[in-house]
Amino acid sequence: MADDSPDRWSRLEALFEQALELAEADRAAFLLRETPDDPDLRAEVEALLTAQPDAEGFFADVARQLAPEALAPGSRVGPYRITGALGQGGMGVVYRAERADGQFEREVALKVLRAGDPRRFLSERRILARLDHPNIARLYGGGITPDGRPYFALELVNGLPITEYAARHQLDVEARLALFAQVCEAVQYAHRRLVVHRDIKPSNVMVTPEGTPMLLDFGVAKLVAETEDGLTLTGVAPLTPAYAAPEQVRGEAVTTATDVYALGVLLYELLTGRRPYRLADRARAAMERAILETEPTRPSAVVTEPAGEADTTTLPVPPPQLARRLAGDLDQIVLKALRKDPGDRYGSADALERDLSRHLEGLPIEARPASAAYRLRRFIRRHRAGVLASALGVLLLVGWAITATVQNQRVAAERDRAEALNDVLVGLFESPDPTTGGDRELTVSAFLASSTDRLQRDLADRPALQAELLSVVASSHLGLGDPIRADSVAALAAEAGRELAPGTHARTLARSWYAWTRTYQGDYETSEQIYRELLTEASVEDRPDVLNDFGIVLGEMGEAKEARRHLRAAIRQFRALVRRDPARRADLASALDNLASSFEAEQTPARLDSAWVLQQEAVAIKAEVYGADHPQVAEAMSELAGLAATRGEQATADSLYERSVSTLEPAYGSEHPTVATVLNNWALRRANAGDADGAEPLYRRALAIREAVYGRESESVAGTLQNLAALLTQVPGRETDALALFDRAEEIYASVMPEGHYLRAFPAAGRAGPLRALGRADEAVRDASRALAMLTEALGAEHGVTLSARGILGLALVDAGRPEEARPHLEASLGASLTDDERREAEAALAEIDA
Amino acid sequence: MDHSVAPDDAPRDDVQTLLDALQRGDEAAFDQLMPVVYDELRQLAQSVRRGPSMETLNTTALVHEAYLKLANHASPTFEGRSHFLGVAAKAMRHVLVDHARRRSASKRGGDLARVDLSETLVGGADTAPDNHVIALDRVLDQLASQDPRKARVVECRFFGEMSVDETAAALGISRATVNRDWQFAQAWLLREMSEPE
Repeated sequence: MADDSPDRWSRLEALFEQALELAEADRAAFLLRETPDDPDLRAEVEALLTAQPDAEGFFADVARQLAPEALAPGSRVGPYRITGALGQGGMGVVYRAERADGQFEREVALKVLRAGDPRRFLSERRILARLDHPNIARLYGGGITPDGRPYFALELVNGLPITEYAARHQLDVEARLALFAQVCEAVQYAHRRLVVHRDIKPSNVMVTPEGTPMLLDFGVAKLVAETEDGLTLTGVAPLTPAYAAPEQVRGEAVTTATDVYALGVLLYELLTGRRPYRLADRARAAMERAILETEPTRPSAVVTEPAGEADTTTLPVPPPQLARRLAGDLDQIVLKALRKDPGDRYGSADALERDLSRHLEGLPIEARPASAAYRLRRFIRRHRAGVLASALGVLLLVGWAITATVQNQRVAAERDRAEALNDVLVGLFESPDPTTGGDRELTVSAFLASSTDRLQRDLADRPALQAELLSVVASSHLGLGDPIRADSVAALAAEAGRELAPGTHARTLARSWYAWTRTYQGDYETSEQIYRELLTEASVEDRPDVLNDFGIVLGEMGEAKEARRHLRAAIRQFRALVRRDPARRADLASALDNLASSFEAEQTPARLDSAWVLQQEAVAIKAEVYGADHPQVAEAMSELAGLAATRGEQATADSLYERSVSTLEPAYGSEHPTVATVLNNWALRRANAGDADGAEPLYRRALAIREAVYGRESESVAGTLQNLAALLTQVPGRETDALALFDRAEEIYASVMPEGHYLRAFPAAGRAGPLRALGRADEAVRDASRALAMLTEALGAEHGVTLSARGILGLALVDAGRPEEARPHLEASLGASLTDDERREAEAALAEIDA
Repeated sequence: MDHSVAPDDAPRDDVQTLLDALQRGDEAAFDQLMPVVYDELRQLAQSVRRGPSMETLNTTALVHEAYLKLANHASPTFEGRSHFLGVAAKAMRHVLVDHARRRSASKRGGDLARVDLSETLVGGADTAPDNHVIALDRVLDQLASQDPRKARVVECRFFGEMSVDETAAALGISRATVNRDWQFAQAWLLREMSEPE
C-alpha cells in the first residue's frame, strides 16, 4: 500500500461498498470508470472484492442473541432441529427434536438447561455418553447452544412411569419385583461407572409398551446441580423432595447410597401404592422433617390402613393378602434401603437386588442380623496375633494410599490401632462372599465398605482414631479407583474430625482428605473452603501438606500462579520439617514434583530450567527414601525424561525413559497402565523428534499392554492405533501398514464412541495420507470427504480440526485432478494449524492451480 | 513460623462499580475493567485448556460465565451487559491470542505428553486454528492504526462473538455502520492475512 492517507482509505471503503452492490459482471467496468488513473487503488478494491465471499465464511458470524426464553419449532441446536416442546422442568426446557441433517431417522428429547458451567458439563457429558445399557436411555450427545447454555440429546422413550405401568397391567408382586430388579441392575451398571442418578422417581423410570423399564436422565441431576452453581444456591438441594434422601435434604454429599435410598422409595411405592411418609400437609418443610426424623411405616402395615388418598385398585393383590405377602422379608428389605444413615443401607443397588432375589428363591436375606459374624468375632479375639498379620496383608493390597496415610498416623497409640484393625477385619468376614468370585479388588472394596460401618459404630466415642481410620479407608477407595465411595467415606471422616479441636492432626488429615475427594465430584467450592480453613488452623507439621494439596487443586482450577505460591510455601515448610524429621523427605519430594509440573506447563526456557532443577531433586530424594528401584522413583523419572525432551535433549530423555520403564516393569508387572502411559509418552517424544523408527516399537508395546488391560475394543487402544498409524504415514513404504491401523482404529471407535463423536472421523481423515502416497487419490478424496462431513457435523465448519480436514481433502482433490474443487478447501485450510509440511504442500498446490 | 495466609479474593465489588461507570459513559472504566475481565477469562480459558486437548474455547460460553462471575449480584440489564461485552470482546481477543501463542509454542517445543495424547489428527499435530488467531491479531493491529472503529467491530463480532445489535450497543454506533465495517474489515483482513509477510 503506497498511500495510507485517510482520504484514500475512505475512497477504498466507498468503492468497495458500491462495487459490492453491483452484479459481479458489472464491477470491473464500474471500477475502471471510477478510478481511471489510479490502477493501484483499483487493484486494491479488486483484491478486496475477491476476498469478500471467502471472508464471509472465514469469519463466520457466530454471535447470537442472549438466552431466548424458548426455542421455536424449527430452531437448530447443534445438529438437531426442534420439533416441539415436551415439558418444562426445574432445570430448563425439554424439547422434542430430530436430526436436522436427516443423517439418522431419530427423534430425541433435547434438554436445554437454563444456564451453566460448560466446562464441567463437557467433561461430565463424556462420562455419561459411555453409559450403554439396554435399560438406560442413551445420551446421544450434547453441547453448548450458541448463547452458552448446555444442552443434551437423550433417547426419547415412549412409555409409562413404572408405578402407573404396574397399576395399569395389574402386575402381581413377583412381576413388580422382576421389573424392579432390572432397574437395580441398570443403576448398578451406572454406579460401576461412577455415575450417580440422584433423582430416581417413577417419572424417571419409564416402562415401554414392550415391558422394558428404561431409566431416564441418568446423571442429569448432577449435571444440572453442578452446571448451575453459578446461578443458584440450590445446587445440592434435591430436585424432587418426595424422593429425596436424608443426606440430600441436609445438603450433604450425594453418593451411590442416595440412589439406593431412592430405589427404596420406588420399591415402597411399587408395592404399597403409597410413599413412605404420610403427611398432613404437603409443605416442603414438613416433607423434609419427615424424611429426616420419621421412621417409615412398614409396608405390610401401611397397606391395611385406611386408604385415604391412595388408590387400592392399583395394588398387586387385595390389601389383607398383600400385607401377608410383604410381612417379613420384603418389609426388612424395603426398610433397609430406606435407612436414614447412608452407611446403614444396602452397600449397592446390586446388594439390594441380590437380597430381593434371595427372597424370591427362599434363601435367608441379608437385611437381617447375621449371627455368624458374631461367632467370627469371637474367633478373632482368641487368635488376635495371627489374624492381625493377615489384616495388614489385606491393607497392603491397596497400595500407595495406605502407605501415605499410615505414615501420618502418629497420634493414636499402637495398641489402639491394633484393636481397631482387628475390628475392621471382622468386617471382612461379614462382607458378602469375601472368598468367592476370585476378584481381589471386589473383595477389598467390599471389605472397605463393611469396615466403614464398623468404624462408625465401634469408634463413635473415639473420634480421633475414627477420623484417621476412616481417612485410611477413603484413601483406599481412591486407590482402587472409586472416587465416589472415597468421597462418602471421607465425608464421614471429616465429620468425625469436626468433633476434635482445631489443629489436631486427625482433624486436619480427615478434612483435607474430604477436600481432596470433593474435587473428584467437581465440587471445588467446598474443597477450597475447607483448605482455606485448614490453612489457618493446621499445626506446623500438617500445614505444608495442606499447602501442597491445595496447590494442586488450585492448579486444576486454572489458578496457576496461586498454585505455585502455595507449592513454594509447602516446599519451604517441608524443608524446615525435614531438618527435624527426615521421614518427611518423601513429602518434600512430592511437593517439588508438583511445582516442577506447574512450571513445565508454562513452556518458557527459564521455567523449564526451574522445572528441571526441581524435578531432579525430587527424583534424588525419592531414590534416597524408597530405594532406586521403587515405582515412585520411576514415575518421577519419566517426568524428568519428558522435561529433557521438551528442552530438546532427546538422548537424555531416551535414557531416562529407558530406566523408568525398566524399573516399572518388574514392580508393576509388564502389563500395567502406568507402563503403557510412559511408553506412549516416550513414543510421542521420539516421534516429535523425528525418530519414527525409534517410536514405533514403543507404541507397539504400549498397544499390547492396553489391549491386555482395557480390552482390544477400547478408546485407549484406538487412540494408540491412531497415533501409531499417523507415525507410519510419514515413513515411506509403510503406507499399507498405516491404512490397516487406521481401519482398526475406525472399527473400534465405531463400537465404543457415541455416534457423531468427532474422534470417529479421525481414522478416515488419516487414511487420506497413505492413500495419496499410494496413488489412490479417488479413495483419498472419498475418505477425506467423509471425515470432513463428520467433523463439520461434530465440531462445526469453523473449527480448526474441520479446517485441517478441508486441507487434507483439498490435497486429495489436487491429486485426483480436480484442482478447481480443491481450491476453496485449500484456501480455507491455510489458516488452520497444519504441520509445516502440510502447509507447504497446500501452498504449493494452490500456486500450481493458479499457474 | 511461616504463616501462609489464604490468597486474597478478587475485589469483585469494584467490578460492579466499574461496570456502572462504564454504563454512564466513563471511558476510563473500560481500561480499568480490562485487566480484571482478562484475568477472569484467562483463568476460565486455562481450565478449559487443561481438559482434553481437543476441546477448544467456546467464546460465548466463556464470556457468559465471566459475566456471571464478575457481575454476580448485578441485575443483568441490557445496557450493563452490552458494555461488559465490549470489554470482554477485547479481553477475549487477548485470551485467544495468548492461548494460540502458547499452544503453537508448545507444538514447536514438542511438549505434548504428560497426559496421554490419543487425540491427534494426522501427523500427531495438535489442531486448533492457532495460526488464524495469531495472524489475525497481527493484521488487526494494522487495521486499528488505520481505522480503530473497524478494529473494535472485529473484536466484538469475531472475538466476542457478539451480534450486530450487541456490537452497535457496545460501541455506540448504528447497526448499518456495524454491518458496513464488518463486511469491509473481513475482506480487508483476509486479504492482508493471505499476503506474504
